[in-house]
Amino acid sequence: MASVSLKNICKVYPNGFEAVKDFNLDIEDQEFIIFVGPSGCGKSTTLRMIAGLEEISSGELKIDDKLMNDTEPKDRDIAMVFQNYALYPHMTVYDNMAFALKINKVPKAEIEKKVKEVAKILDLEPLLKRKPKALSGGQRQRVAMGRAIVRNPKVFLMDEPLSNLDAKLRVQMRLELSKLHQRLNATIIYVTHDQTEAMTLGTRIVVMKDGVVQQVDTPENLYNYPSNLFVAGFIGSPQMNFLNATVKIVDNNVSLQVGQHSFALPPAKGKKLIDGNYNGREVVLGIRPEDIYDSEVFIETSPSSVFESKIKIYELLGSEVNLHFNLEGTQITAKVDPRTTIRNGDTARFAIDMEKAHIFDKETELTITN
Amino acid sequence: MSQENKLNQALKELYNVTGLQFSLLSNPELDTKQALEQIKHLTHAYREKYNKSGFIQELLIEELSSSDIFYRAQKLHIEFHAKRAVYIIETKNAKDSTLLETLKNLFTNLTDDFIIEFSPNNIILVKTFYSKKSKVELEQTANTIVDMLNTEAMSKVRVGYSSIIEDLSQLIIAYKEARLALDIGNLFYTNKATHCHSSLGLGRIIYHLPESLSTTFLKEILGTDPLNSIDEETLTTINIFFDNGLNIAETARKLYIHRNTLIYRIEKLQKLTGLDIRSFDDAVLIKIALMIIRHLKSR
Repeated sequence: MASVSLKNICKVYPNGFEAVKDFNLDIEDQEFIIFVGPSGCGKSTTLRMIAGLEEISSGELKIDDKLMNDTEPKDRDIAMVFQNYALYPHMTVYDNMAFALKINKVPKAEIEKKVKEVAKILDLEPLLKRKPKALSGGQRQRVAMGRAIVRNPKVFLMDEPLSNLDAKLRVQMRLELSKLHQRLNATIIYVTHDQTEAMTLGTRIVVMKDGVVQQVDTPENLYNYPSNLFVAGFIGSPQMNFLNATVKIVDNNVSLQVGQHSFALPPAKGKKLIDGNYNGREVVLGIRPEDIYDSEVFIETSPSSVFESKIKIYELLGSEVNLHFNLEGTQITAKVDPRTTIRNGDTARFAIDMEKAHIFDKETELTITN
Repeated sequence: MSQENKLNQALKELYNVTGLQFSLLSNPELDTKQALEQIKHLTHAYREKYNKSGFIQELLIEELSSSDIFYRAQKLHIEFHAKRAVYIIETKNAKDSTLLETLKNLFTNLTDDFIIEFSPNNIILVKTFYSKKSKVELEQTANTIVDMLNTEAMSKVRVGYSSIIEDLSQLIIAYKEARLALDIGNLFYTNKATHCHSSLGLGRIIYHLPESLSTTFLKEILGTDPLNSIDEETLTTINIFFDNGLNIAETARKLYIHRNTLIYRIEKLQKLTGLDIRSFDDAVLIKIALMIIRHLKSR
């Protein structure tokens, strides 16, 4: 497998549209890197530049320290699985996987060895003689993966490969992909707009927006320490709650004023606001739904972050309950224990875990407290 | 003639039709009569297939009478009435064997789909649709062609495709539609790989404007030297402003410039053209003018 390095990569289309701006990333050998972001953020364009299917307008792309900007896709030692894959309908699973090797005139014995090896990894051995029509959706997907794996590439490039599958199959294939990465020890670059896929598969995630990298980090760090408002809102479901607040600093005690409510910040977070001269300035307070508690015990121990609101929607999701309500005109979601007795129309008390609060600069949208 | 000579003769004929060379191996268990029959059937099938491809290729570029087409289609066992669409696949090298093999194996419905090496850069697929969801399939097929040729043949391709036609006599129309879709798509929608004739938007109108009308319009909007009157920086600014729904704040953010710098650039354009792109009506005129410039430059 291989390392991939992207330095100052840009993609500008003839109409002046900048699809990717100054993309910098070093992908280590055997990493499972995810490019995630909303539609049109440049993630697929970046992947296609790595593949050689899009020209790089400026910057340097290296695979294993070799400059690849002008190398043809077939000479880059990569394999791809894209969204709109299809199997060759009249060929067996074996022939589907062997096809690219046959065309490249790989000796028959070697093809057989490779296909059988890959079939074993993908649990396709009993299906090798079947034709695509006789396969389930998941099995077909595995064959498509198999076609890429038999090429024995340095890097795998995958662009939303699971998006044509139904929800249940996607979950199953996600697990398969994770196992596959461990078995192959492969370098994989994977594009998705689905943050669950990104969080569960990636060793590192690249969050993109408008062609610009917002943050590159581990799933855990992205969730706990988002670098800006966009990343904070994009990662996590239900998404993080955002409230406009004004900073009040009195004798080194820092609190956030949200309308009529005042929430005291823990000293460590407060210090960042003092150091940044935020007294009297507007900021954005970000709270994840699971950091809002309805339990009496928590409320009693957190008197400086308590508030009351009338429940608008009660959503039971089985293992958890989402409560939707307004706080100072902003819709808030709290994720609470399913044993809660709160229901639609109730006026309930909550407390925020301010240790987990995220504060963002309102102008730059960058995080202040992480 | 001995059985072996007959077999060699049959293989030679197969070679003439397909270009595939087979050699005869001695095998005592081989039923030579049966083998001879099978080779003859294969040769016949290939010949018919090639005749069919030739016929389809003729239909793409030549206008024939419906009755003639009907008669010849019947003789070649091609369904006259069937839902079909034409896909033009543009590539650097249409003779790339991987590309052709991938397509041929993907669309293996030998009797109903046709793959034709049309020119050094173009391969044509005439695809037959059976399901009621053929419109969905139409787009799906284009996406599959692109993704499969990207991943399997590792070739960069662009695809233009027609709307669905009802019978073979409309094949020439379908070909023209697919060609137009590809030409307009390559000109105005460069960040997309597939272009459907039924969704070409404003590009369709601009493409068909007569040159004299286009130049008159440009002179009216941009003055005497319209092709060179707008510099690259202003051009990028305008395009991003349009992409962001004429939103000043969003455009300034995307261009990494201050709001006032953006307003200065917009006002500079206003001095040049008398048009304020912050107003919808003026924005439309500039948008059309820029598309016309691109069209004229491409000529």
